[in-house]
Amino acid sequence: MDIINGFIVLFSDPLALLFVVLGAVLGVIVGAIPGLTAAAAIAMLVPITYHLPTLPALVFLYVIGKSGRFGGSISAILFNTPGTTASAATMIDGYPLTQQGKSGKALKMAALSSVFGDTGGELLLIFGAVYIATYTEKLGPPEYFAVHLMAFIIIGSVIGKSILKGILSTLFGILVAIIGLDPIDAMPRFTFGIVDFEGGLSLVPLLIGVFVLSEVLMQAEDQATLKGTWQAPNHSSDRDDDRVTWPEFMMCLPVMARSTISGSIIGMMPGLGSAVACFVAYGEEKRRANRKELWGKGAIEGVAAPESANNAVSGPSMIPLLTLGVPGSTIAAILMSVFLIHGITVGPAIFYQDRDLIFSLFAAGLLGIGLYGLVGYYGSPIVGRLVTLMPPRYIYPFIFLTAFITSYSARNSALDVVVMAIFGLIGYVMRKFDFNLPAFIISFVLTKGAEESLRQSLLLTEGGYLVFFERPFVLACFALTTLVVGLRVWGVARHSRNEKYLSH
Amino acid sequence: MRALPELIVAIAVIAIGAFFYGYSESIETFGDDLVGPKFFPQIISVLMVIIGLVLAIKAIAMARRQDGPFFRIHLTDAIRKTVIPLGVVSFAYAALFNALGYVLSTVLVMAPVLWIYGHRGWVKLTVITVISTAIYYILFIRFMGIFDPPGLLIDLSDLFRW
Repeated sequence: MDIINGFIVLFSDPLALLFVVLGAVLGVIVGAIPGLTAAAAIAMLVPITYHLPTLPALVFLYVIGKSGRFGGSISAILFNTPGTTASAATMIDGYPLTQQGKSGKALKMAALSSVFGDTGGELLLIFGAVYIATYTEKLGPPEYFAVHLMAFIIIGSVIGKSILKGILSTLFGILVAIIGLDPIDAMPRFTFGIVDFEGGLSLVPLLIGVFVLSEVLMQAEDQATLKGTWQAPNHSSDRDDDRVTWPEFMMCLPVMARSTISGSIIGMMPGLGSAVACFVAYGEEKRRANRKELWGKGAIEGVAAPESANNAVSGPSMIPLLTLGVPGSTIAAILMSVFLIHGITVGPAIFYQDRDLIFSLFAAGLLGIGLYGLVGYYGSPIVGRLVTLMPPRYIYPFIFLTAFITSYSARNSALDVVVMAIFGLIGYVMRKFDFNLPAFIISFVLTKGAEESLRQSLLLTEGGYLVFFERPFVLACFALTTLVVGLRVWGVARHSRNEKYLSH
Repeated sequence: MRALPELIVAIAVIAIGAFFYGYSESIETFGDDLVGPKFFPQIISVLMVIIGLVLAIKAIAMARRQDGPFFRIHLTDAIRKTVIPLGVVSFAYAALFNALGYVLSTVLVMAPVLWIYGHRGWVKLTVITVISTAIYYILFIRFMGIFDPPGLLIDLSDLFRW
């Protein structure tokens, strides 16, 4: 089987193995630092991976993305501050458990649930991606454009507080991506006469600016209002409070299974991601629970559900990237750039041209899950203690320095540093006004493919727009988009009606 | 009192959309293809203007509902004392990178950054600045081989070559 071959290739590359271990440990630590998301860490590390061979570079970033999602649960549980948006739902029951002196139990359940969910998602990726790729390789430009359009609309409208601002974030990402040469006619667009802009803006400084430098600015603001102090948690003297008992594990097993399924489905949809998955799973399990009154006060299932779901997103979010060339998440968008830097074009052909590499990546994913599970199960309290020893006012000045040198190192370009600084400020303003940063980044990455496929479709049919309405796959994409957006609009309208009713 | 900031953002969006629509008229095209190099930029710009207008209308509606003066933007102390100075330092660092090279620009910038984050005492600031600059130089420039940009105004890169 290909996955066994993948393990053989992985284990025959000591450097790749080293980076799997490093990624597992580093991701947990980085994810545990409030404000510093796995995406931000990966953005800073991408230029460093340019110096590595392909497999170590990819496995390093891929495993950090997985372990970082788990790492966010540590600060969510211990400090009531999610380390990543994916852990926001874990906080609801995780922190009350800490207040009851049961932080060890909560952390261990988070580790077990994350491993469960991530493994389920990874298996879906391993077996599903190849199967899906046999269909997607038959798709043409009209289908690819429909997928891109679906991604733009869903990413912009489903996540975030405001649909309009989400769509605006998507449009802004597209506009920034247009800077450079036209992909078909090679005409300069929006270059302002600057030759360096003809190649377009580089993704790395944009990412670092929007995710890292904007966070540095947010943390500086929080420091001024003394929000940045973290206290070490209290511990109970009861041994059972520091571990997950067998009855508790069995009770949470069906919760983890259902949450893994919902997280995997959400992960396959471009743009939805862990932040949506964790709340969907939490809400659904609370609705099904026999003792709803315990949820929000330290129900162990309230940790299991979101942690399984948010980690189950990781593997399936790679499916649209590998089968269609459309990244399903910010981390997938970053990995896409790493693939391209190493001369690998993502899409269904990758399973023929670079089959060994892909299955080695999958194998690294499974190995990384096991490693971060061990680190998380036995080492979470240590990581938590490390975080209390490193308050933000010590960490973030160094993150500031790292952001600048890593954005410079991507292309040895001082212009990239300027771009990073500009987008750091733009990212800060976008966050303050509830714009959608993931939508901005993902649409930036998707734009070239979307425009190419649109114009190729129209060139093939000599300008006939009807081509988009003659293909069943295209119509299915449009229908799915309409359904998802419709549900979102209905949800917003209902929420708004409820608020008005309550205020009266 | 969010109405005015929201209106400013809406106006900025409209301005950006309008500017890029106008700029897109200068993009050269071959032939008379409807969907050429201008198509995507113009569609996106128009959509931005439309959504910007909707946001502006919403901001004005918000202003009518809110108490307090409209023409007032409340900048918190935190923003004035940390975000704005850190933003200025960020742009200064980006400019100094090219002008003075990596080492000198980092030394000049690190102390203000530490100050903004609440660190005090010139000894502490000096020690952290020097040690962190040295560590970053060794790690990124020496160990990883990133090109050390020679400063256009002052070039100290020869001092650190061994």
